[in-house]
Amino acid sequence: MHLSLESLPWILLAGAATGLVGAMLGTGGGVFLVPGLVLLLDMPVHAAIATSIVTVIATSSAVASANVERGTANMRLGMTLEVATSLGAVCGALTAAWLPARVLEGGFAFILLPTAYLLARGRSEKAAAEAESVAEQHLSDDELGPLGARYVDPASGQAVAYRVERLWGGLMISFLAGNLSGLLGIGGGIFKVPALHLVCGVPMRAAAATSNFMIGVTAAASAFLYYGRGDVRPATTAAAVLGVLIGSVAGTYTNRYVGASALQKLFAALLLAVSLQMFYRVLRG
Amino acid sequence: MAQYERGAHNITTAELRHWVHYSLLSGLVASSLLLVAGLALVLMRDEPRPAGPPAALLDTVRGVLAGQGIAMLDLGLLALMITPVLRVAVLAVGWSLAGWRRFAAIALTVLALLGASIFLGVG
Repeated sequence: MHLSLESLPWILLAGAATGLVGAMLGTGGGVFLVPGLVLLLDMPVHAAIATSIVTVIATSSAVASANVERGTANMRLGMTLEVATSLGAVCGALTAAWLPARVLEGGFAFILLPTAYLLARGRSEKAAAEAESVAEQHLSDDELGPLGARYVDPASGQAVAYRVERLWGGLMISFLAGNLSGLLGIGGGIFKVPALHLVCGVPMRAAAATSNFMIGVTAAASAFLYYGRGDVRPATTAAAVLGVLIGSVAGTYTNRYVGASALQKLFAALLLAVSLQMFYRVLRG
Repeated sequence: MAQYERGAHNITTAELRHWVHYSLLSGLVASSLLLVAGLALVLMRDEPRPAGPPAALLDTVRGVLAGQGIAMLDLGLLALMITPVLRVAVLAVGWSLAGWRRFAAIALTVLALLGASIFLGVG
């Protein structure tokens, strides 16, 4: 697919829509971008995955720089889990090179199903705030341990403290999420955030910020492999990256005015439809 | 936990956060400028890149200096991809200076994995 003045607006639009939806739903947006590029713009799946993985780096860098400054991203926990996600991502990207396009498309269609379920089941802002208040504990500095942290919740102004439980569980899930990221070009946040919250006991807001902090490194671990193989198409990817950045800024602004719960259900239905469309494409051959 | 707030070289967690914030932001700004300039040149000149693996880094830099749009796009994408690597390096140095050896070692492990990926991909 050669970038021209005719195709540029469509790729920018696909990127912007991904950034917008990603920022509103708190995901990297790769689950929307890859099928969008494959189904709507007829891009080969390997190139679509490579484009998506580079846009994930852009989203993560933009969002993480703000979250780190606010103190909601737990850098020590994020770095510890990045050992597993990076290893998983390198394995995933190396595997992707050997897999035929149809297998990757089938894998993507399959992974959209649990993603749609998790999205439909997602938490509202109110539920997240309630989770934060539960996490508010009177922990001493020693009780927090080396991976625990404190932060002030930006929405409620409440101080939150937490310690990290079951790190091995977090490492195993991070490896799998990294593997999916390298294999399918997604950030994997939709799996990591609930895992960090439910397995490691990290409050939702900190889990989302830490996951976002991590996905840039995870994506970089596989991006170089895709780039070296020539799967990253510079002009198309640049347009998608710029679109994603514009969409992320717009999404952060829009987020304040649109209810998250209805959106999550709407996009879950959309993902289900996209998944079926991709399955149909794989079976049709 | 308190020992992680201020390290041996008087570096606080807040200072480390600033370093990380600015490393991510500078990578993002540098890559965005290169991508915008490259895209504009590629579209104006209808300059396609030959299919297949990208040019070597030195050739890409030469291309940028010669004003080639496609070389600017390649360098912009490389700058974007190297941004998280820079962030890990900043934390490795910061935690080392602060005397938090365990986390410095973890950051160096991640850096080694990213180095392996760079070597396998574009080395």
